[in-house]
Amino acid sequence: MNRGVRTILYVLPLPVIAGALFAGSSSVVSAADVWRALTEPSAPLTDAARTVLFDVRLPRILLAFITGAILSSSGAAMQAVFRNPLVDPYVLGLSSGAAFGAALAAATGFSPMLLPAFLFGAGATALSAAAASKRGRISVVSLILAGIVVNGIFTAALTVVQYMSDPFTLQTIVQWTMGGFQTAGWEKTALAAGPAAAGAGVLLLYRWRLNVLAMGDDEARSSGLHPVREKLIILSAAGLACAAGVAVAGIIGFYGLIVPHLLRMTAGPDHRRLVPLSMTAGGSFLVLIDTLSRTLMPYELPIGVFTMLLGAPLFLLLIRRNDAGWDR
Amino acid sequence: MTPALRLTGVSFSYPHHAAVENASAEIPAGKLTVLFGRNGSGKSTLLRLCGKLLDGYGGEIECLGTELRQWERGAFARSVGYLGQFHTPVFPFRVEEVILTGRAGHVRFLPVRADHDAVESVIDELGIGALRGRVYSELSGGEQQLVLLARALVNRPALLLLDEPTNHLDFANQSRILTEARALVRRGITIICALHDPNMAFQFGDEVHFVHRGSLVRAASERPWESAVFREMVPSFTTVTDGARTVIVPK
Repeated sequence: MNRGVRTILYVLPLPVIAGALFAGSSSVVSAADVWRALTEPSAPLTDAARTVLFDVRLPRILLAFITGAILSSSGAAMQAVFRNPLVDPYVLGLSSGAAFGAALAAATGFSPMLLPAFLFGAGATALSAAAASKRGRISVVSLILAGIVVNGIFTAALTVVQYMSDPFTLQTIVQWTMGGFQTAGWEKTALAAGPAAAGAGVLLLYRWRLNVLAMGDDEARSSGLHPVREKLIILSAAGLACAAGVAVAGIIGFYGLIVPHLLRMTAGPDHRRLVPLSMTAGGSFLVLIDTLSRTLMPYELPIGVFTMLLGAPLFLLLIRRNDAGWDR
Repeated sequence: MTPALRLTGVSFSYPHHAAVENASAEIPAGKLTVLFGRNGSGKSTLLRLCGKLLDGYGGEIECLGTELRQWERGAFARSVGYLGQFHTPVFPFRVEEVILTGRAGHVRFLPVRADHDAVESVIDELGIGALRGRVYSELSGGEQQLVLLARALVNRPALLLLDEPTNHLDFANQSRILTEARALVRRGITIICALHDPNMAFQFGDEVHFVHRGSLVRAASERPWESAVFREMVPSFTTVTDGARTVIVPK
């Protein structure tokens, strides 16, 4: 890929985040207000405009960026760790675990949905990894199988909770599972930022090792890495970051699967580039999609549905063209 | 001279069968030693054991003077190269990226200039400059094998383990790989190479060890095909002699 496109993808977050601040129908903020707020920080703004810009739009945009960056960079990392291009961050049961945790909280009213979603999401991932490891080794096949089983368990448990819930709670649960940033605020953004930054840091540090792990276990071991240790570090980082993302934003389907593929087709498979690009471009794309979902129609489209409807056809197209070259 | 590798009563079992049973041998430094055996004889298991890829073996494996269990993984990877039998690429990495992964034992987190230089020099050494920049998964079997050989050599190992490096290669590529191996031995690298073709084994090996039923038997340097072990492994063959060379052909 030529250097120009790559540079554009690296700096994409700036114009996208700035641009997204303009989007939205509001009678208290005009485009001129946004422009003034961006160009001269000391400019006077009405309190209402300030609230819309900096307490409604900005945290939402940042949260969408963080979530997109986490999902796509974790997806890229997990595809390498599993040596499987069909893997996404939810493969070890993260999404169904988080959905169950959120539903349980909603049904019992015991706590807000955020913390249980995070704990059960991360827990499901850890459970799959623990179930699949045997004598200090983890085979990819048993890991994926364990993920399917754990996914199944939590999906069944979720169904039980939904079955026993009253219609009002049920609606809350369904809305949560569809994912979205409509309830974003500084509190959620701050909660997601910690695990996201930690996970992103580890993935950036380990990005070249993903190339080594993608060669296979024997190859990694014979060139001096402990594949199991490396995989556990990478999966923990990705799992924690994604669990935080899912806890604050719900389940955003397909995103962590498709963005790494799109970027791999434009920038090549070298994770030294792919991981940072997944963060900048992956974050930016989700901000774009979220901006569309809140401005395209008079009512807001759930972003999880949006990414699914947008991503699935695109992905089918890619499978047919197979520019990623995974079945050669 | 201390042997490159000394196996003493080595045993290894997979969950449902014993692959190596009480194998002992000394592999000399500075030579090309061939492990000859049939499919499933335990050649690959032996090589993987020697490459520190399998844990939980019985007996002792002393590699370059140190018992394998005492070797730290990174240091071991810098001294011993390993080329496996099967490799399926998943992502379309470029040739240089594949070779660079062999440097993991040197790299802290990101490869530096010295690592890229090592890749360049091994590419020059093997004469595969034409493959530079190409996508590994799109290469032919012979070219892929040369790239993996370069990957195993990128740390300038003292010992190189090759597991059936000629598998799935056409005749010309088979001799190319083995000729390359001979050239490496001339430059001072010790090579242990598993093969299942007796003619290749006897022609290219300085020493041949038969791997039979999980054990090692050193072959005679003169007319090794006449030994009882060889006859047990290859029950039906005949030889054709032309001058000083004898080849083994199926009967």
